[in-house]
Amino acid sequence: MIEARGLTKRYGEKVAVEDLSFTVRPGVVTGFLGPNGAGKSTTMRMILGLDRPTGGTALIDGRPYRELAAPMRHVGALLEARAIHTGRSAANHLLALAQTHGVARRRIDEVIELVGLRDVAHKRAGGFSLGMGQRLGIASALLGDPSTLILDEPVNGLDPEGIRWIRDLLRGFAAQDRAVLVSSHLMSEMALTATELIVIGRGRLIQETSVADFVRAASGNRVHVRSPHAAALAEILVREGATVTATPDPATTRLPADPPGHQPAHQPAHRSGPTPDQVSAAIGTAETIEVAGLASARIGELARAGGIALHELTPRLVSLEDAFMNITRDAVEFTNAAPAGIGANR
Amino acid sequence: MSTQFTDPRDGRTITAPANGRDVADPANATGSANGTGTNGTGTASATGAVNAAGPAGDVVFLGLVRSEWTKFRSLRSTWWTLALTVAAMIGLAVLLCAMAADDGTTLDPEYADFDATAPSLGGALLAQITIGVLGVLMITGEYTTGMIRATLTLVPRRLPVLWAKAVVFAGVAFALTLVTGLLSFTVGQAILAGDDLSVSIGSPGAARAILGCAFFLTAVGLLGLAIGALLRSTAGAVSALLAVLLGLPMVVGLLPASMQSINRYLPASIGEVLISTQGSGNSFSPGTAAVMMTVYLVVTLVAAAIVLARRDV
Repeated sequence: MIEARGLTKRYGEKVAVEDLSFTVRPGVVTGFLGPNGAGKSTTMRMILGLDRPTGGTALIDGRPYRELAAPMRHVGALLEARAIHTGRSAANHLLALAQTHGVARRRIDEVIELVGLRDVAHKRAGGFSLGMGQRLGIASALLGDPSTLILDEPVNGLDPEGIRWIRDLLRGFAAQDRAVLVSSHLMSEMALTATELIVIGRGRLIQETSVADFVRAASGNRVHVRSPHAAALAEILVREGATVTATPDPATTRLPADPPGHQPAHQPAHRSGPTPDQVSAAIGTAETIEVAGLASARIGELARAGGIALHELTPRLVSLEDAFMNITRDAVEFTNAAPAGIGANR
Repeated sequence: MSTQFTDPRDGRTITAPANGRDVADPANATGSANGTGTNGTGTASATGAVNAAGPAGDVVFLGLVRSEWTKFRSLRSTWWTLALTVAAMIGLAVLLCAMAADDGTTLDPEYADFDATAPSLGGALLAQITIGVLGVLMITGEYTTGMIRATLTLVPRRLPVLWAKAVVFAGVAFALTLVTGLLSFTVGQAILAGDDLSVSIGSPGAARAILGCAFFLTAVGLLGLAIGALLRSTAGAVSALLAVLLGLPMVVGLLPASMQSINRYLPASIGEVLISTQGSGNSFSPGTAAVMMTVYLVVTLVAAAIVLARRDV
């Protein structure tokens, strides 16, 4: 559990982090997002007592980090820059860390096993690849069986298998009702790992939200539908108030929705919007359509009621990456002060 | 309420329930972070209970000393510099005593004034450099590799780390230089004995000089540790230490004669007093010299501690 309250860090004139407040709760993986130089690493270092905040406080399980009697029991940390002496073996590195808290040697073997470094445990860390170094860093973080993990760019230098390993590890960790704060520049990876998000830009909080809400707010609820009777389905959906677009045709035009409850048989001649007939005609023989304004569940029910077979029904969410780009671009372009962005739902 | 994402690598769609537990992918549950065998599949323990039987105890000073000893002994550079220190002390003892034996019998009829202990401990002149570098490396090695962040994350109070390093270093350095000093003395006297110039360890000042030698070399290493903590860079700290030990006497030597009295306050002169059996005329007594060296050391260590406690790492 991490609580940041008004964290501020200035280096002379330069503001690295300003008035940053957020909470990292146990039981979920919280992603820490922000462009390079946004202040993620500085924030993590302040939480860990490595950098002294200019203002504000960070509490770990209710207490300032520097006052913890056994920091290793509360927090396991992996910082972005490597924190391993290159001349020492992995086993001796872990032993030196373990001895500060009287951790038994058996636990060292366990974490070495857990991160898959058994074969190289007695080799000098200086010869490790980036990925092996990351694994050793993770082993160090897990040594004290902490209730909170703080990881700065943990998937850096890992191969796809290693990335998946980290993802499983973090989710398993959170599932044990522990807190995880993880930063990454790989948004797609974050979408798969995190459920909560803290987004910062220029050292300020932009959003504290869930990944699902973050993406939904940016996506406008679009659903991708494939059906051999797409045109007939479109007719039904438009009648329900949806906006339907035929997707395979590059010359597609967007067809806005008619008001709900509208009866096409009595369509007044002067209306400018397309009738369900017009939509149907526009779609023609196309099989895939994009629907906005209706949940995928409702679309499925309507299709069933209309006796139309569906071959595909996929909520089309923008990638986290796109949502992130939108939101941080807004922050950079339009504001230096107030939190900004689309669909802030706090 | 579930959210779907498209896996960027293979285009598969992955469902992530909003409550954070992945039910679509059972493999995810195997990544139990708890190496003690708790199964991570959904059975979340209560907050805090996680720690109750955790492997980590409170940070205590003895643990930090153990940790620093592990760090110290697990680097090759430690053993190289220690070996060089021993080689310098014994090697120079052999060389200087052999030369003195030569001089004493053939050239100097008045060898009554001859201090037989001095050549056998003359290696300290070289050993102060190697032991000083070892002291510097003990902390700058952490700064240059980034290890210091791991160390200080585990010991956020910071200062105990510096004291633990000092304890480990002082213990090893003093024991080693004391034993090596005794060895150098014994070997040196054996060489001088051939020309009837040797003294026994029971002769006036001999034992004290051996002890003083070990004290001085240990203090120089600790000075290196403190300067390393202040400057954080190996090259910078080694240069600064050499400037203090070897550079300052040269600078003072360039000053007018009236200012030569400064010389006796320098660590190099203090070292000479500590390592010789007979104090020279305008020097302090060995006891005063030991106190002065201690004062220099304490002042530098306190400065290092203040900076370590305040600075961002």
